[in-house]
Amino acid sequence: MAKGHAGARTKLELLQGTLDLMVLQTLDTMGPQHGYGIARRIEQMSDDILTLNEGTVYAALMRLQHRRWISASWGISDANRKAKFYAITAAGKRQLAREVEAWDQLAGLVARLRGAEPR
Amino acid sequence: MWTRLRAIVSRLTFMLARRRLDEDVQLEIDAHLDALAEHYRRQGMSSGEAYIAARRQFGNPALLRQDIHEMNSIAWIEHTLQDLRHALRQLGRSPAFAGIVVVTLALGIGSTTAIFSVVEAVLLRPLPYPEADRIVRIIERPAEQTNEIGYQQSLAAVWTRDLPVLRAQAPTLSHVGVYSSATSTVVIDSGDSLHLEGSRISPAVFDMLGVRPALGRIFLAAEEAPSTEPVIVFSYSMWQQYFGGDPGVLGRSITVDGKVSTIVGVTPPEFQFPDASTLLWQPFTLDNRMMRVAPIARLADDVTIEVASSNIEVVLQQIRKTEPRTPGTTSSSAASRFEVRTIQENLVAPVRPLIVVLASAVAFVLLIACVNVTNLLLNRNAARRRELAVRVALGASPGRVVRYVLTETLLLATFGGAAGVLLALGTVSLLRTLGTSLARRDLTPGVSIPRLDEIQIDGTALVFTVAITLGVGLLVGLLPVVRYALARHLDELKGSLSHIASVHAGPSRGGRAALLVTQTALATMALVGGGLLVHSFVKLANVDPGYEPAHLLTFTVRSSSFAGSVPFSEEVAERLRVLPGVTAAGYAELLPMVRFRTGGPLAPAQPMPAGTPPPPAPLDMRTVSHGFVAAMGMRIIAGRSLRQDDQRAVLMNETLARSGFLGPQALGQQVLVAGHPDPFEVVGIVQDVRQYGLDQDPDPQVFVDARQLPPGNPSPYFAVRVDGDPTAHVASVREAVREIDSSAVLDNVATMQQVVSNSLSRPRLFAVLAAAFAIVAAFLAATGVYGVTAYAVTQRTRELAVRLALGARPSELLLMVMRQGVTWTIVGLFLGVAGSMALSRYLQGVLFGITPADPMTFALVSTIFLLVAILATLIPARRIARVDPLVAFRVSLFLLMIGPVVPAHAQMPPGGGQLPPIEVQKLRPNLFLVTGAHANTVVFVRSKDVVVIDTKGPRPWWGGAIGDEVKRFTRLPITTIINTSASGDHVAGNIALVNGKMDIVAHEYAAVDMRKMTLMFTKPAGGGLPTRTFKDRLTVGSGPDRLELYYFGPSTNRSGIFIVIPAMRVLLTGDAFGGKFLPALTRPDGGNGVEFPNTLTKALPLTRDIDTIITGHSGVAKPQDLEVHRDFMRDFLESTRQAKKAGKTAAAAAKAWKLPARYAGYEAQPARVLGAMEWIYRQLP
Repeated sequence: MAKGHAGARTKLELLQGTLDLMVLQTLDTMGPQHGYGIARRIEQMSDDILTLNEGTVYAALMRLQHRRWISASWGISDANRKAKFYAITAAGKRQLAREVEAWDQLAGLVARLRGAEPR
Repeated sequence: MWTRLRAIVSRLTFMLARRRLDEDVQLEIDAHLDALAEHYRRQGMSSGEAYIAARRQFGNPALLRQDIHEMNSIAWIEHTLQDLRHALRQLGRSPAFAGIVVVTLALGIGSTTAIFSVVEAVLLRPLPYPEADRIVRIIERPAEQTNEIGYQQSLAAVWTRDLPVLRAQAPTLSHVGVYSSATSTVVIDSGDSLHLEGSRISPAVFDMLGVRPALGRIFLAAEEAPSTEPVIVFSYSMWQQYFGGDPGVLGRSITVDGKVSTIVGVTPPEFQFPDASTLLWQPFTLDNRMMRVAPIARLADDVTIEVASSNIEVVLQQIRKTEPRTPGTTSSSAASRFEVRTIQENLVAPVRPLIVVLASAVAFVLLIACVNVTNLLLNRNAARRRELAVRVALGASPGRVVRYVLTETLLLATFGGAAGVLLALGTVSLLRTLGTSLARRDLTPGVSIPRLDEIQIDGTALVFTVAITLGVGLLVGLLPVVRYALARHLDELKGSLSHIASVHAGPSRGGRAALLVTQTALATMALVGGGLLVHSFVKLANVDPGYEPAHLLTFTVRSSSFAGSVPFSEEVAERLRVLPGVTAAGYAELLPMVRFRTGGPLAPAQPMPAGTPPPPAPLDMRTVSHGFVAAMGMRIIAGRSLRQDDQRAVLMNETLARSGFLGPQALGQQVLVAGHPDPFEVVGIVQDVRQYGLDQDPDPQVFVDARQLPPGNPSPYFAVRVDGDPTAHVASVREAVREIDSSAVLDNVATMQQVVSNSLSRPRLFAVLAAAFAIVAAFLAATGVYGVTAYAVTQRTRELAVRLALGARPSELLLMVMRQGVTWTIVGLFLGVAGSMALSRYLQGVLFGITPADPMTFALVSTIFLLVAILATLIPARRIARVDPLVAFRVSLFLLMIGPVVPAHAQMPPGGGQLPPIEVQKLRPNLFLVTGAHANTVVFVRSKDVVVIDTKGPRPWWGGAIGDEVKRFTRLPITTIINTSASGDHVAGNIALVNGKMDIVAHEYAAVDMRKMTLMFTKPAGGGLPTRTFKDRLTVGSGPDRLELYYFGPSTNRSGIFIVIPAMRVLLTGDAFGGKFLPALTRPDGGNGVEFPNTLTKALPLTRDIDTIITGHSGVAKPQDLEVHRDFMRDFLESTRQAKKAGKTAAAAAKAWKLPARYAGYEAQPARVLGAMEWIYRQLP
C-alpha cells in the first residue's frame, strides 16, 4: 500500500480519503448497507464519472472500521444470503459533518478563485 | 492525532481478529462477485462472460485480500514473527550447530554474569552503614611480613587498658571502640535457655555506625564503665522472633549469661554487625580484665586516611613500647608499622587479587567464546550469501536483510543468555558451598570470601546479562553482515565460477590457523594449571593425618560452675565412655587443626653424654587425657599409651624421639616436665600427628596427662569415637553432659572430618575453580577446532567431490581434512606445554606433594586434550563420506552453464547429505517393491534378466541407487526399463541406471513428452529416453516372463499406462491409481479430469486375473480398490459438474466440497481439490 513519505500526502492517500468520504456519506444516506449495495449506489450516483474497482470499497470499509466511524455486523441481505452490514456510528456522523464542511469550503474557495461566484 | 492513535490501537485489536476478518472478507468478496455476475447475466451475458465482467469490475480479489490483510497487521511485527519462525526452523535443522553455539555463549555469558555478581557484591557495593568509607581499622604490618597475596592481615591489637590512651591521643579518630563476639545464654519468659550469637561492643561503635534504633535507644557512653547496670540491645529479627515485636519489651529484665540485664533498645531491621548472625549486643565494659582487642574507629570530619595513619602510627608505636611482655607470646619486632584502613578495604583486600584474576580470566573466556561463535557463524553464513543476494534482488531492503540475518544470531544469543543465567546461578551457589568454611575462630582459617552471603544473581546482574547478551548477539551477528556488505551481491549472482575459485567468506587461512593455535595453547595451559592444582589437592587430601578422623565427634563444654576443672572433664569423659555406641572418649587442651600453640620446657632427667643434642625448640607440649590417644585413633609405634593409673608418664611423637635429645633410645627414659619436681617416664612413642595443617610438617611433641599438667584452656576439647555417624550421637552426648552439670552447654560441635575438611577448603576452592576454568577453556578450544574443520569441509566440498570422482577413497579424504585441524592442534599443544612449564613455577607456593613440572599431570592433560581435539575434528569431517561425486560433479557442470541461484547444499543428494531411506519389500519370490521417496519402483526378476518399472526422480541419482539395491538381491543384469508415464519422478532415474544395452519401454506419448524435457535428457540416444514405444497394447517378453502393457486414455497425464504381470498376478496402475488420494492433474502433460473415470473404467477388466494392485505411489492395494477409485474420480467429476451448473465458482465449489463418507480413507488436499476443479471447470462446457 502507500509507502508514502511522512508528511506528504500521496495521490493514493487522497483518493483513499475521498472514497472513504463517499462510503461514509452513502451509509449516512442509505442507512445500514452491505458492501455490494454501497458499490451499486456509488456506481448509480457517479453516472459514469467515476469508474472504480469495486473491491476498493472493502478496503475503504476496513479503514473506516479502524477509525471506528462505522460498525459491522452480519445479517441477511434481500437476496436471502448472509452478508456483512455496515452502519455509521455517532463518531462517524461527526466526522462526516467535518469533512463535508471542509469540502464545501474548498469548493467555495476554488469557485471564488475562478471568479465564478462573487463573495 | 487522537484518532490516529486510536487507529493504531484499532489495528492491534484487528490484528488479533485477523483470521476471522480474512475469512469474512473472502466471503464478502465471493458474495460480491456472485452478485455482480448475476447482475450481468440478467443483462443477457452468458455465465462465462458475466463472470469475466464481474471480475473485471471488481478488481483483483487476491490483491484486495492481501491489502486488507496488511491493513490488519503491523508490518514490522509480522516480519519479526516471520523471521523468528524461520530462524527457529533453520536452527532446528542444524541442532548440533545451534547446540554448540548456545553452550559456548552460555559459558561465556554465564561465567561473566557470575563474576560480575561477585565483583559487585564483594568489591563494589559499599557496606550498609552511612558513610561506611569513614569507618576504619588499624592494621599492623610486622617488618618481615613479605608483601604477598597474604591472607594473614593482622589487625593491630592493644590491651583494653590502653584504649583510653588511644582515644586521648588520636584526635584524627572521632570514635574508637572495640568489639568481641561470643555465644550468650539468654533465658526468656518461658524459662527456656537460648544460645544465641551475640557481641559485646563499645557504645562508640553503635555511634560510629550511625545506628538509629527502631525502638528505645542504643548504648550510652557511660555504659562502658564496669560498674553500670547491665543493659542489652536486641536485633530486629530477634525482637520479632522471640518477643513478637511487642514494644513493651523496653525496660524489661532478662537473664543473660547468668546476669540480669535490662532491655533498652532494638536495632533497625536491616542492621547487622559484625555479621548477619549477631542477634544481641551488650556493652563492652572496660574492666580490669586484660584482653587484647583490635579497635574499630571512625575518621574525624575532614580527616583523610593518610593523616589518620600518621597519627595512629605514632600513637601505637608509643603504646607498644609501654606494653608488658607476656611469656609465651612471640615478641613482635620493634619495627612494626601501623596504618589505618577502611573496613571495606580491610575486608576485601585479601581477596581482591583473586577476584581480579578470576574476572580477567572470565573476560578472556567471553572473548574467546565470541570469537568462536563468530567463526561458526561465518562458516554457516558462507553458504547463505547466495540466498541473501537473491533476497536483495527480489526486492528486500538492506535493512530487512540485516534484520533477517540478525534474528537468528539474536535468537541464539538469547538462548545462550538464558542458559548462561542458569549457569551463573549454579556457579554462585557452588561458590557459596566452596567458600563457606566452618565459622570457627579457633581453627586455622580455611578460605573465607567476605560478604559471601551477599552474592546473588539479582536485578542488576540480570540487566547486565541482558546487556551482554544483546551486545554479543549484535557483535557476532553484524560481523558476517558487514563482510557480506563489502562484497557486492551481484558478484554472487554472476556465477559459480567465482564459487569454484573458492572465495572464502571467512577469515583468512593464516588467521584461522593462528586463532586455533592460540586457543589450543591457552586451553592447554589452563588444563595443566587446573590439573596441577587438582592433583595437588588430591595428594593433600590423602595425607595421613596421624589419627583416624572418621567416626569422631568433637566439641567443647562451657560450664559456668566447673570451668575447665580437670575433675569435671574427667567425669565427663568417663560418662561419655559408657554411652551406647561410644568406643572411646577423651579430652585434650587442643585438637589437631586448632591454631593455638602450647609449649613448655622439657629436659632429660639425667645428664646426657656429651654430644647429645639439646631438646628441640619450639616444642609442642600438649595436655591430654589418658583416653584421648585411643579416642583420636593415634597410633602407638613403641611402648604403650597413657593409662588410668599412670602417675607420671608422658608420650612422645616420632619426631621428638628421633631428635636424639634423650639419646638413641627415648623409650623408658626419664624427663623433667614444665617445672614438675619429679621426673616423668617416656612410656610410649606415637606416630606423628599433623597438628596445624595437612601440609605442615609435624613438630616435635610431648603428650602429658592432664591430671599432672592441668590445661590452661577453660574449655578443653572433647573427642568421642562412635560407631556410625557422629552427628547422630550429639543429642545423647549433650544429655550425658547435662547430667553432670545442668547448665553446661556444648560448643564448637563438629565431626573431626569436618574440621579436617575445613582446613582443606582453600586448596579445594583453588582446585575447583582452576579445574572449572580449564574445562571451559578446553571446551572452547575444542569447538574452535570443530568450527575450523567444519568450515574447511564446506569450503572444499567441490574439491573433495572431484577427488572422489577421480578415485580417492573417502577414508583418505577424511584423513586429509582431519590432518589439518589436528596438526594445528598439536602445534598449539606443544606451545601450551612449553608455556605451562615456564609459568607453573608460580604455582609452587600452592602445590603440595608434586613439582610444578609434574610429569603425570602433563602427560594426562596432553593425552586427554589431544583425544578431544581429534574427536572435534572427526565429527564434521565425517560428512565427507556422504558426498556423492556424481551428483556434485554433474550438477556443478550444469550450474556452470546456467548461472546458479542455488545454494551450495542443493548439490548434495536429497535430504541434505542424509542417505534417503530406500525400502525394499519382497512381494513375491521374484517381485520386489522399492519404496521410499517419490514414485514406486517395481523390480521383476525373470529367468535370465531383470525388468525395472519406473526409476524414481526427480534426480537422476536415484537410478544409481536402484541399481545398487537390485545388485543386492540378484546378479542378473537389468535389461529393460518400463516407464509407466513421462512424469519426472518416474523417469529421471533412467539416466543413471541406463547403459547402452538396455531397452526402455514407454507409451508413444511418453516418448514425445520426455524428449521435450531437454534439461534432463541431454543426449537423444542412450541417455534414458525410450527405445521402444507402443500405442494401445504391447507384450514384453514371453511365457511366464512376460509383461502386458495397456493404454486406455489420459488420467493424471496423457502418457499413463497399465502393466499386468500374469505370472505374478499383479497389476501396476502408475499414477492413474497412485493411491487412495485425489491426484494432481498435470495440465501441460495432458491431464484430463473428465476422461479420468473413463480410463479407469476401461482398466477394470484387468482386475479379474490378478491378486494385487501395485499403485504408483502408495504400495499395494486390493483389486476391488480400482473400482472404488474409479467411483471416487467419477463422483468427484460429478460434484464438480453440479457445482459448475449451479453457478458456483471453482473456489466456492472446492471449499464446499466434502469427502463423501464412502471414501473414508481417502486423502484430498484442499489445494488439489481446487486445482482439479479449476481444471475440470475449464474443460467442461
